[in-house]
Amino acid sequence: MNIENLYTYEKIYIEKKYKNHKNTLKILSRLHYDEIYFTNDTKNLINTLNLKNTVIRNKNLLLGGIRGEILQKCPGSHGHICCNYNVINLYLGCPINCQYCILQSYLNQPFTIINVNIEKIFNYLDKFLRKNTDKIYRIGTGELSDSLVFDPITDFSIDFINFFKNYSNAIFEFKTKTNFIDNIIKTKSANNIVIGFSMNPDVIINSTEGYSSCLKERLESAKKLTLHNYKIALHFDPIINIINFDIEYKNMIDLIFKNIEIKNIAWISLGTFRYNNDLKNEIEYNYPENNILSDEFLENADKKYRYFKPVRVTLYNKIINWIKYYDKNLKLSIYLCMESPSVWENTLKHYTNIEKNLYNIFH
Amino acid sequence: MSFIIIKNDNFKVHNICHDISRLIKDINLPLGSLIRQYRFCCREDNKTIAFYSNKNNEFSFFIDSDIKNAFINFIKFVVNENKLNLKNSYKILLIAEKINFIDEEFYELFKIINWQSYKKGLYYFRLMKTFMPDLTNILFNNKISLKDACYFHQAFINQNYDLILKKINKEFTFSEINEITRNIADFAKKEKKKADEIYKIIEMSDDLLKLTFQLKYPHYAKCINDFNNFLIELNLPKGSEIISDNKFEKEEYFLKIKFTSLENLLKKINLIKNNFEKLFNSGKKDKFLHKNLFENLNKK
Repeated sequence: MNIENLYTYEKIYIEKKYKNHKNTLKILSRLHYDEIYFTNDTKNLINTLNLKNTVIRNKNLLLGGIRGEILQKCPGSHGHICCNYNVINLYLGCPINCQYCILQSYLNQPFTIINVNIEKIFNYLDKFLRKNTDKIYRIGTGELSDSLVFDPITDFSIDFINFFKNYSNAIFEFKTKTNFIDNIIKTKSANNIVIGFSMNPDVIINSTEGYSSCLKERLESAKKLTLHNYKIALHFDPIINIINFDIEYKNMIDLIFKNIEIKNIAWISLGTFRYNNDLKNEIEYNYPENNILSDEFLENADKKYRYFKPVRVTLYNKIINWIKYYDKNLKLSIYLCMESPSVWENTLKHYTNIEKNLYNIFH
Repeated sequence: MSFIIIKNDNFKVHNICHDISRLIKDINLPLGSLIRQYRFCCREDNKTIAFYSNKNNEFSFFIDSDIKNAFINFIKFVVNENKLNLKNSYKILLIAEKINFIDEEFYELFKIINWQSYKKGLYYFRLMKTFMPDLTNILFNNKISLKDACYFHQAFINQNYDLILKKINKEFTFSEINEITRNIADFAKKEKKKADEIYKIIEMSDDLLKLTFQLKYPHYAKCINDFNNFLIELNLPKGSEIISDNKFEKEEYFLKIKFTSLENLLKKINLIKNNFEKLFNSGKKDKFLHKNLFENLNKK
């Protein structure tokens, strides 16, 4: 992956309040840009800049302070089992540009945002985690961006690891499609830090996952992390029903387990591709040659389109069975993302006790 | 920018004059319309130039600006006096292209004529120019949405899909044509079929809606068929029905019985019970269970 291209911007906007913030200065020193502007009123700025699509967003960057709720629950989906992931929107916008990405329809600002005042995030989290010691919180930064895609310019992973290692009631997870793990490798590992890698066969990565790292790079990174005593997670999401599914996905699973030992995998999640009408419109417009939407998708009660249920169940069971080949003792923690109880019942029932599964995974 | 009425015989005629005249002819403007009364002129290279001329005009409505701004203001007059259809909106864009509108100028025009905004609007416009004539006709006859027309065209880009369109019966409604073309496009994209291959599949069909649904949703269509056949075998009395999730996500069902009295209800319950027992004891598979309903889906 060509890193330089990821950090080249036409315009940088900086909230005046953070003009001299150490993180602002560090980030600016590592970017390429044409123009720089300062603003006192980000909300007004967003309203006045007309064009708000992914192309524009990736050309412009805002460095500012985090707004709104610092810790939010992942929205999940009505009627579906939820893994209770909590998110910190450290970055809003992602330059990787996967063709199926929800961000192209979900985000509505004309620039990528990097929140520089992480001390505010940590102050809040410290109070929250000290107050709520009765359960374990799974927290991550991979909701509105890739958790590590900006790490070469921010170094935030170091700060997050050093913060979270002090809280036994939190598990922090990075979610990434990159191999930007240099900072993590340099930092002493902790039991409650997990680095999650999105997984897909190269045929999907090459055609739809934009500027992401290839499968080999992700696996090499995952392996390196395990050698530094980090736990990794694997996210098979989105699973796409491609021609030669059996060959491509099985080969990928084989490659994964040749490189990663089961004991180093914190959890695995599975989720087939799903979308809503807004995302459908964006994909059709932005990537007219992509045929990902042409398959047998039906609108479900939560207004998301998913593969027809027996198709999903078949895909899940294939992957689970291939994984089982390597995990004969069923040690791995596997969960489904945004799936109905019925699909859980038809896929993971024999792998683990569904009711206890999510609790056990994250405790 | 000023607008004045002048009496002027000394003007050149712009090369879009003819296009605008044809456009105005198509639009059913009210009798008292400003546009009917006057020639419309603007300034180009310090000369007065007419971009719309009704030859009976003695007077001209002069917009003191260049052709592009004048055209935009003229269209504002048109839109004020009449709601535009898609065909006329498209004609306006063609004229704008002729006078070399840049992207930002198109964006301004899109707002006035209620076209899709910004880059997407440009995308639709430019794609429309490459439509086959039959697709354009269906679109302008309001038989297909612009979005679905573009999607269909994109699936068969640089191919001749006329035969497919001719097969689509003129009796179909707007939403049916949208559904048929979308299903065909999705099937073609998924299975990498060309237009002529698609035509071979659909040419003998007398139920295009059903066939294209089956092409797009092969497993789902089969399940609907199998489930409906199963419901028929249940032989429910009149006024009774099974309520279920029509997407087959949930494996739960409700039995709805219409009755008029306790006796009537008991009669129906007994009938249902007998029919259900008969089916249950016949050895046929219970298709309420998804494992049975989905059983043969992947078998070829």
